[in-house]
Amino acid sequence: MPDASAPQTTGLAARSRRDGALDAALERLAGLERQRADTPDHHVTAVRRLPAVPAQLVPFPAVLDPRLRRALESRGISQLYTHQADAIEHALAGRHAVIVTPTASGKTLCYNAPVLHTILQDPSARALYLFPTKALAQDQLAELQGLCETLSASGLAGAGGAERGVSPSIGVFTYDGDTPQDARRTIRGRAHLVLSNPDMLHSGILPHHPRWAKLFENLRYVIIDELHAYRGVFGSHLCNVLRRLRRICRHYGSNPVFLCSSATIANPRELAERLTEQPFELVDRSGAPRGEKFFVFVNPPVVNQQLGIRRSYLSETRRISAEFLQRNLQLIVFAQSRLATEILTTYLKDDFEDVPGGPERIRGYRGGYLPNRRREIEKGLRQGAVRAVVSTNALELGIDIGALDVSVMAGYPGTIAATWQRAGRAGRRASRSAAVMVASSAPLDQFVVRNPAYFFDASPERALIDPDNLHILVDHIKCAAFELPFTTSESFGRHDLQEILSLLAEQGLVHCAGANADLDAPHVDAEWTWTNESYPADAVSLRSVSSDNFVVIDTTDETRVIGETDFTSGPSTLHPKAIYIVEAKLYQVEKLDFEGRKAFVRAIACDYYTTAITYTRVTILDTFAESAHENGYDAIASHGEVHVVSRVVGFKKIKFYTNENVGSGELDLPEQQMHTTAYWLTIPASVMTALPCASDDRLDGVVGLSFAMRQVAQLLLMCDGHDIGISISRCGVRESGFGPDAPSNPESQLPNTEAVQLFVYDNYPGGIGFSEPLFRMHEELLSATRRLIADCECESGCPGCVGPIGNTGPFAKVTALRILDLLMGAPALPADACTADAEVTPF
Amino acid sequence: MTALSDRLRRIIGQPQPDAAAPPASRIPTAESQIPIESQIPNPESRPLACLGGQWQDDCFVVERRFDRDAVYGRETVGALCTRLAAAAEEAPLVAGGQPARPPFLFFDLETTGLSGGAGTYAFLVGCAWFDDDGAFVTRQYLLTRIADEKRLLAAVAGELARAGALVSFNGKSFDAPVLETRYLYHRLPWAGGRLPHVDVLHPARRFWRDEQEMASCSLVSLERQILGARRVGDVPGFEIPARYFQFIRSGEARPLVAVLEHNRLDLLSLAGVTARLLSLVSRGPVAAKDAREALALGRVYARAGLDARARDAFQQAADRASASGAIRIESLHALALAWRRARQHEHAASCWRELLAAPACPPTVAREATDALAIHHEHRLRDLASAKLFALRSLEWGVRPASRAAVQHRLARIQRKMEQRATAGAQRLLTDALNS
Repeated sequence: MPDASAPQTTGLAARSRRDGALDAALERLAGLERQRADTPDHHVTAVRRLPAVPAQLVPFPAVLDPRLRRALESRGISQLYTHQADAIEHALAGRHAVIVTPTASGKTLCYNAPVLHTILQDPSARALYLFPTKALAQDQLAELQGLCETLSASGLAGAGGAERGVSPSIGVFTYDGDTPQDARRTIRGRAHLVLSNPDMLHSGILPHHPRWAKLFENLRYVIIDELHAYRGVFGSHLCNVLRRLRRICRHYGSNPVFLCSSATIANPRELAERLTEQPFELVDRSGAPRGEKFFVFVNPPVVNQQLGIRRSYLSETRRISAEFLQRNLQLIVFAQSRLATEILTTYLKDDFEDVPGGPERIRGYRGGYLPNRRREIEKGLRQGAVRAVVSTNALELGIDIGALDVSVMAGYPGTIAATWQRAGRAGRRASRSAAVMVASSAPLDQFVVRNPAYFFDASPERALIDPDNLHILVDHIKCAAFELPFTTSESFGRHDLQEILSLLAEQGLVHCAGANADLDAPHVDAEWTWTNESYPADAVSLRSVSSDNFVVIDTTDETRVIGETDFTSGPSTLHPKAIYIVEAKLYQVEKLDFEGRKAFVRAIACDYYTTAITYTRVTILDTFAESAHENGYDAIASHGEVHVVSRVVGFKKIKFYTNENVGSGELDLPEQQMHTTAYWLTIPASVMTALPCASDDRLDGVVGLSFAMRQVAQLLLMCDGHDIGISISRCGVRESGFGPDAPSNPESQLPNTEAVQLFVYDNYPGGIGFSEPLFRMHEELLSATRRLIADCECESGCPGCVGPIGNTGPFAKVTALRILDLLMGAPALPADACTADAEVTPF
Repeated sequence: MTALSDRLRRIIGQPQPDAAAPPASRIPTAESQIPIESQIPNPESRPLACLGGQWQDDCFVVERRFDRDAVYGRETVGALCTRLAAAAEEAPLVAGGQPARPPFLFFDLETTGLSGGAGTYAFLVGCAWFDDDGAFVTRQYLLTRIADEKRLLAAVAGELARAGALVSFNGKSFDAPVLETRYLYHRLPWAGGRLPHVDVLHPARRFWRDEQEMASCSLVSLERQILGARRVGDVPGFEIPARYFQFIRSGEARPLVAVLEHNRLDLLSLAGVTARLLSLVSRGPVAAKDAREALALGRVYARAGLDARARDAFQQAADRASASGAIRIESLHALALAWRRARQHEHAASCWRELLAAPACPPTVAREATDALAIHHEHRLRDLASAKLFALRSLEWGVRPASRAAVQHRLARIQRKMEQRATAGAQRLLTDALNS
């Protein structure tokens, strides 16, 4: 809740004490005394100060129901922030709106106010809230119920004249997989506000819409919280679920207003419009006050210049966290994995908790903890008893943990948007806060930490979806046909619905009644009805490639299931002898039952983990577009449809902490195939031959280039690492290739004169919409890749640019740079000149 | 073929040669190879003659009459009718206390799937009743085109309006919700929600489920066991949706003949089982053919709050059951609880003692018995020594930690009381001695 008028509970003295402590800690971290032993050169690569912003307040709009206004006033809200007023105005005028404002700026009021106002005016009105997780719905339930209680209390006490007798008893309920069966009927009848998630809407509500007739007839608002979470596969599914929702609303004669809230991404309005296929108003100027904030980038110092090895970023995070904790500042530490979370929790507990069994001032937080424990930690944070929490991205979304002093990120969160989101977890309205990002040695981290301008000045990532991916679209057309028959003039998505339905009819899934021979009964419109026994929504999972998966069975003591993995990543993570990690415990896979989709594991004590070596072969099926510059050296960029065959052929053992390669093994696993979309870069034979080196070194250069390009593509596309794959092939002869984890393959020597193609493909059947944008960002992709490699301080390749030196040859780095220069039309220059040039290349 | 359909085929699959009937091989009909979309005539011209029905208000209705003299299993239809009529007033006992009264409308759906939801249709609504002559009349509404569903539902609503109660087999959990969804879908009022509903599945299970033979307690196994009826060439339930889809695609009605017959026999068996059930409830345990039926009767009465009738039935069940059988244990247990509810603690205690003496008494029941007897002796008989013995026996059965703690708590309390009593006794002796 925005609480503009309430005084800070800590008072002025405490505030300035905290500000002083923060200043002191920042001074030690980023201070100007460069000579100090614990702050080596270039340790801190950026310090930005974001000035404090005062609140911009406006009175409640006159139309707002007085009962709602009184309820808000009794909760200490006497005015609105400007963005809240804007959002309310749009909503009440029936315009769809997407609200993009920072954490803790009172965005929930932006949609709760119009929803409650509308229900007070018309008690039959209904609203549906969609949250990406059940925990967020629970979090909001408490807040909404509180507000509704205040509302009924004040409604009764303060009502006079015309308002008397209207006792606003507003039903707020969550409806998800945890809702008991016997409560469901009551909720369907009584809920004004249904808090749910897309998965439940998809499989539990829409297919049973007749039972929800009251909701759909009176549906006035659909709230989509954390809109930015719906990108890629999940977003593409959600778009189709919303198509189904709107179709059912039309059937019941309603036309709800969509109100969405999003973290800062480049294209919130576009994303909202693509997801809902409706025009949107953008509300992105926050009127909430903000305290001064410092943003610090830290790059752990290089300990081995030649190998490009830096000090462990976890140790560095520990040291930095300690600086803040010593000064009694409350902080949240974000780690990139469950394992890292546990390690950092252990470190900080060792440092700051005196006796076991005493008050727990340091806590861990991640998926897999039981709900009670999570609630306890959240409460401890709000009340200040917990001084530091180490979390995975589980606390990135809007769970209420109050406002903390400092956010420390161990590793770059992967996207600009997520970084701001995590940084926003620290920040009080009236005092100073800080966010510190500690880079790991991953290329993405290194690129960002060395190019702070990329982060601070560039716009954040675009969230991409491809709702017309045929795999996804067809699944949802089945679900939609189950819900309501399709008419022969209806459309659904971008493709020809009628043609798709005809093909589904061939499978016996639908039937078009009254289509052709029914001339005698022209009054009956022809309709496609669902003619199958199945319940199609059960076969469609919104969050993964398919509902097919592998289960992981621990056989150490008694047999029990300890985890699951989606089908596509099964072979690479659960191959025989793979190390499978869950809650910091290590297991080794003893047997993979591919047909039965089961992996049998046993607990093991070892000091390494495994990465799979995957060979991938890409064949072009159809080229959608191609671009080439006049210059004969230039790269040809293309995108289109491809066939990808991949096979896990072996694995490597990697030692924890040092990342040394300590062994390997061969594997014989079945091939996986898919049709998908890809962007590809053709390096002409002329460029290859122009390289002044042996063919082995040319190969190393291409491999190094692909290693770096993959990271940059991920950066530009705002996607997770496993969303894309990379593969190299020689033109004309495409039998061999390289997986992302296997950048070297001695069998595919590149003959002097052959062109080479480098594919970045969507790692999802049918593609998920990355290829076309990547094609458009082609030049940016090349220049940023060049910059990543050229700016790296290593001598000839490291994990932060073209890959660890053991995997690529000694000339990988210089050759990759040379290839890029040739592709980008620069005349062939000596390598050192290239490096100098890079520093002035505008990005 | 377009590029789209090319890509789609890779996702959806190649056309099936006989998609009209997915499990085609299972349905032996002469015209199983009807070309897709070849003939979809208007409803009137569809070759529905083989079903023997007629059009009524735009609905295709198949009506059949089983005369009162017709034999079904061991009895005639007329006898079933008489039985039912004689016992009709007991119907509320098996309708969860709802005022179920004649006329009874037996109903049974055939649906396009088992999962429910908007895409599951009730394509055949079978209704049936006994008429005044003692004949059994079935009236089946067939959805000849999905587009006609609303008219069908309106016609069925007319049938429901005439009924005093619905009678079904598993209809409370399946048929009624499916039909309700269809009414909601078409924004029609659903009368079934207000009608008393006798779902004979659950009582039938209690009366007649035989662990060996009738694990599922299906209607077909019930009719064989209870009514002595046998079906020949019945269509298996899993085939029914496919037959209907084949009809919808091809207009070929012949595969439906067996489906309609299956539905009619289900209705007749439902009526027969209901008649047997209500007749038993009405005549009481003397009419029960064995201890199991008597026990089940006791449960029906107990549920309806008829405690005296329930105890009588339980007693008879216990008397008639074989000494070593589970039925006897169950009956005595139910009887003990019934006596306790009636606050007849002496009677209850003797049941518990009988249970402890029974050879087949399972540990859970025995522990309940010793617990109950310990309480009885401690608080009512104030026989602490016996109470202690029973409490100690409770510990003999492998008990869970929680209940063990409760027993030990009780033992400690009994011990304390015994000591207090001993002290008081000694004091009294002392006082007596001093006074004398």
